[in-house]
Amino acid sequence: MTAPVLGIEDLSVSYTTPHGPLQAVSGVDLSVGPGEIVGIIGESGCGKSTLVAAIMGMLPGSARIGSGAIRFGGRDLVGLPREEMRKLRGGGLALVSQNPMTAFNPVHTIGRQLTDFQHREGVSNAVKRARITDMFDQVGITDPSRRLHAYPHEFSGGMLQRMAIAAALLTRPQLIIADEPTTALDVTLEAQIIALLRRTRDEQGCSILFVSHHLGAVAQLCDRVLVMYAGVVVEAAPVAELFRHPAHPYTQRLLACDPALDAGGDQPLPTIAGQVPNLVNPPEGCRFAPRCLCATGRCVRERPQPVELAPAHAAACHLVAP
Amino acid sequence: MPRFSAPLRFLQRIAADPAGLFGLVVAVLFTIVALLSNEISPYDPAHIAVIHRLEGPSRAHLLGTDQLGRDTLSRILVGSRTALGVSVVSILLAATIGAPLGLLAGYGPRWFGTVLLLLLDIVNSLPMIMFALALLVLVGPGFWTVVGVIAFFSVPGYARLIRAQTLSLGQSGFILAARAMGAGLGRILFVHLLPNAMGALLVVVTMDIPSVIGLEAGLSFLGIGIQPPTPSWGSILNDGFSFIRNTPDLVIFAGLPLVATTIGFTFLGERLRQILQPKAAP
Amino acid sequence: MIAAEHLGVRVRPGLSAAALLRGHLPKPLDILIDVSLAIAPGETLALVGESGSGKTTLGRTLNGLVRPVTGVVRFEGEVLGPRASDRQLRPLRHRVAMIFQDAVGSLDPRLRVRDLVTEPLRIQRIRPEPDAAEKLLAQVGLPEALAERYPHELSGGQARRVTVARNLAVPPRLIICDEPTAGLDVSVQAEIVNLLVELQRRLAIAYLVITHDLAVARRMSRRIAVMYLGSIVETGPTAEVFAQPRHPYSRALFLAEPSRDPAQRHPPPLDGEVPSLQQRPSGCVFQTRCPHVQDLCRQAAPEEREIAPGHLLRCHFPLGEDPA
Repeated sequence: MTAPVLGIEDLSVSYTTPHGPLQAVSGVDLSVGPGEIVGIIGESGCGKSTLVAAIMGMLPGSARIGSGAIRFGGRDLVGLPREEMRKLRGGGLALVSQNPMTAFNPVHTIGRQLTDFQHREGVSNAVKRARITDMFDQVGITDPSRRLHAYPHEFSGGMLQRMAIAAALLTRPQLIIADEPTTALDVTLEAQIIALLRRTRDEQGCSILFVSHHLGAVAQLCDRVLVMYAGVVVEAAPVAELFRHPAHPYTQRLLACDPALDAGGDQPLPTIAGQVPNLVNPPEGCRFAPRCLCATGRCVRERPQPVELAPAHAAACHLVAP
Repeated sequence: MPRFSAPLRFLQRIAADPAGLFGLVVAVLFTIVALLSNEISPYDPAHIAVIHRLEGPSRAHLLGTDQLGRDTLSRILVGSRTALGVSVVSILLAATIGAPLGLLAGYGPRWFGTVLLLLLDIVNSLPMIMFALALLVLVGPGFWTVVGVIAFFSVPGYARLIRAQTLSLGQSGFILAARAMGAGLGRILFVHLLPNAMGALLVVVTMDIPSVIGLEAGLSFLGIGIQPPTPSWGSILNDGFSFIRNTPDLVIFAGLPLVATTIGFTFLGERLRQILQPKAAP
Repeated sequence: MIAAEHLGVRVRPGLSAAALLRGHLPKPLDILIDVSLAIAPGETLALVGESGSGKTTLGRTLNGLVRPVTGVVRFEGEVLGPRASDRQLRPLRHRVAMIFQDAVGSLDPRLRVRDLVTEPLRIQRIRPEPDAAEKLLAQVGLPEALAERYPHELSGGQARRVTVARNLAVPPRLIICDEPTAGLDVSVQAEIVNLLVELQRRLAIAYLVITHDLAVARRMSRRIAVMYLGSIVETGPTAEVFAQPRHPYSRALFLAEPSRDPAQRHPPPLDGEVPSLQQRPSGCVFQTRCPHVQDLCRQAAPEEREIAPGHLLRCHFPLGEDPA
C-alpha cells in the first residue's frame, strides 16, 4: 500500500470565543492517496471549512489545534513554522476556492499574476508564459495569448474559475484542495469544471480533496467520500457505496432530503428536525443523537467510534453492524 | 438578572473602551456644568469689581479675575452654557436641514441631486468670515447670528454625508423589497433610509461639537458673536490675549476647557464609529 | 391571472469617460427580448435558466420593479405598459409579492422581525392586530420569540421564512420566489420547499419560482419555462418538458445536472459559456453552442410556436422523440 499524499490523524481544532472554546473539528481522521479524489460533504457548521483552513495553515488567530497531526510530504503540518508552511502553499499544496472573482488581484493582468505564481520555478519569463498558454489549452480556455493581457474583471465567473484551476496546476501540486469550487457557477459550467478536475487527475496524477455541499457534484467526481457533522466524520466510504447504501443515520437523512430525489412528487420532502448542536458544549455522546430517530440511551452517553462495515466503508454509529 | 434597556446597553458599550469612557464622562460633565452653571458659579459673571482686576488664583477667586475684576471661574462656567447652546442649536439646525436634502439627493430624482450638489459647492466656496461679517452688518451680533453662520456652513457637510449613505443604501436588498411591497417615497426615505444612515451622522455630529465650540470661540473672538457681558470662552480668550503681558492666566484657563471638550468629544465620536459602523454596513 | 406579453427590457449602461473619448456611445443592452408567459390562479410556474438568462429581471418586471420598454403586463384586467404610473402599479405591488434571493439582505437591519413582517399592513394602511406578527410567524413555522430579533440574529433558513411570512401579511395572489433555496443547506432547502408547497395548498397562492436548481423546479411546479440569454426557449408542462425536452438547450441543461448516481457519468453536454449580453448573436440566441445548429439558425430568430397543447417552443429544428 502506497503512502497517502495527505494523512490526517485525530485532528481537533477549536476556536476561542467569549463563551468558551468552540469545538469546530473533533478527532477527524482522513487520508488521500496518490491520484485519488476524496470528497467531503456536510452542512453548515460541520467543520469542513475549518478543516481546509487547518490543512492550508490558514486558520484565524482565535483557532487552536488541540491535538492530532496533518501529514503531508513526509512532514507534520501542525506546528510547522510559518515560513515552511508558506513554501508548501503553491509548492505541492494548492487551493481553489469558492469565489473565483476574489482569487485574483483586480489591478494586475492575468498573465502577470500567473507568471508570478510560478516564482519558484527557476526559468525565464518567456518559458513561464509558454507554460501558461499550455495550461490554458489544457483547461479549455481559448485564445490564450490574448487572455494574458486581460484583467480579471473582463472574464466571467466560469472562465475565472478555470483560470484559478490553471493557476493551481502551474505549481505542479501533489494535492489540490477545492473548497466549494462549483457553488457559484451555473449547472452547465459545473459539469465542465467537474470534467476538468477529473481530467487533471487522470493526466497529471495529482490528488484532489473536493469539499462541497452539492451532492451531485461529489457523486460525479469523487472516488471516496467522507460525511461530516458537527465537527466529526460520521461516515466514510467509496462513492458508489455511500450513495447507494448509506449506513449512518445522518447520511441517510441527508441523502433523503435532497430535493433532487425524484420519488413521490406529492409527498413533502423528508427533513431533519432540530438544529446542529452548540459546539461550545457539544453533547457527550453521539453528536447526532439529539436529532436521530433511532437514538438509544447508549448513543446519548457514549461517543461512537468508527465501525468498519466493509473494506474502506466505516460509520461512527452504535447501531450499525459490520 | 434585570434586562437592561437598549439605550443603557448602548452606553455600556461606549464605556467599555477607555477612550470612549473618557469621552462619555466629558460629554456628561460638560452638559451638567452648562445647565447648572448659573447655580454653581460662585459669583455673578457680570459683576464688575475693577479694584480686583487681573488677580491671580486665590481662595476668593479660584481662577483669578479678568481685567474688569470679574471672576474667571464663574465666567468660564457660564461660558460653557453658551458653548453648549450654540453647538447644540446650530448642529441640530444644520442636521435638520441637511439630512432631508441629502436623502432626497441620494434617492430622489437625479436632477435634484445634481442641483443640490451645485448649490452645496457654492456654499462651500463662500468665505465664512466674510459671510459672518455681512450678517453682522445686517442683523447685528448675537447668539442667533453665530448660530446662523455656523449652521449655514455646516449644512453642506451633513447633506453630502447623508447623500453618500443614501446612494449606497438605496441599492440594498431591503430597499428593493420595500419598493416591491408598494412603499411610497416618504416611507422609504424616513422609515428605511434615514435610520440606517443615522449611524454615520451621529458619529460626525459628535465630532463636530468641539469644532463648533471652537468656531463659536473664534467668531466671538472676532467680535461677531456673543456680546458682553454674556461670557463665552471665545471672548474670554480674546480678553486674555490683550492682557497676556500682564498675566497668561486668562488664556490658559479659557483654553483648557476648550481642549478638554475637544479631546473628549473626539474620543466619544471615535468610539461611536467603532460601535456603529461595522454593523450598519448594508 | 397575470400575463406578460412581448416584454422587452433594456438598460442603458452608464457613460464612461474612456468610452466617450474613444467615440463610443454605450450601446443599450437588451435584457429581455419578446418574452411572453402567463400564470393561472393557484398554479406554479418555474422559470429556469443560467446567468444572463434574464429570469430575475423577468420576475421584477412582473411586479413592476422594472419597467419594460415594450410589451405589457396584464394583471386582473389592468393593462400595464411602459408608461404605467406608480399609482397604476400599486394594485400590482399589493397583490403580487416577492421573495428575494438574499433573504437577510432584503430585511431592514434596523427593524425587528415583528415590524418587518407587519410592514405590508402598514403600507396598505391596515392597522395590524396586536398579535399579527405572532400569527404570521406561526404560519411559517417559526416560534413567537423570534419576533423580537433583528435580521442579523437569524439563520439563513429563519430569514427565508421571515420573508415568506412578510408576504403573507396581506394575502397575495402571486408570490414571485427568486431563488428561494439559494445558499441554504440541503435539509433546510427541503423545509422551505415543503413550507411553500403547503402554503400554496392552504391559501391557493400562485407561484413563479425562479431558480437555477432543477430539482426544486421539478418538485414545485406544474409548468416550466426555460430561458436563455433573454428569451424563453421552451415552455410546457413540467413532467413533459423534463421527460422529453424539445429544445437543445433544455436538453443540455437537464443533462448537465450532476446526477446523484455515481454510475451515471457522462461528458458535459455543452461546451463554452453563455455569451455575454453585449455579444448576443443575431438569429437564434443559442446558435453559438447548439450541437444541431444550421444556417437558418444564424439567419433568423425562431418564432414561438405551439408544438403540442400547452407546450411552446422557439426553435427551427425541435428535437424529436429522444431516447436519452
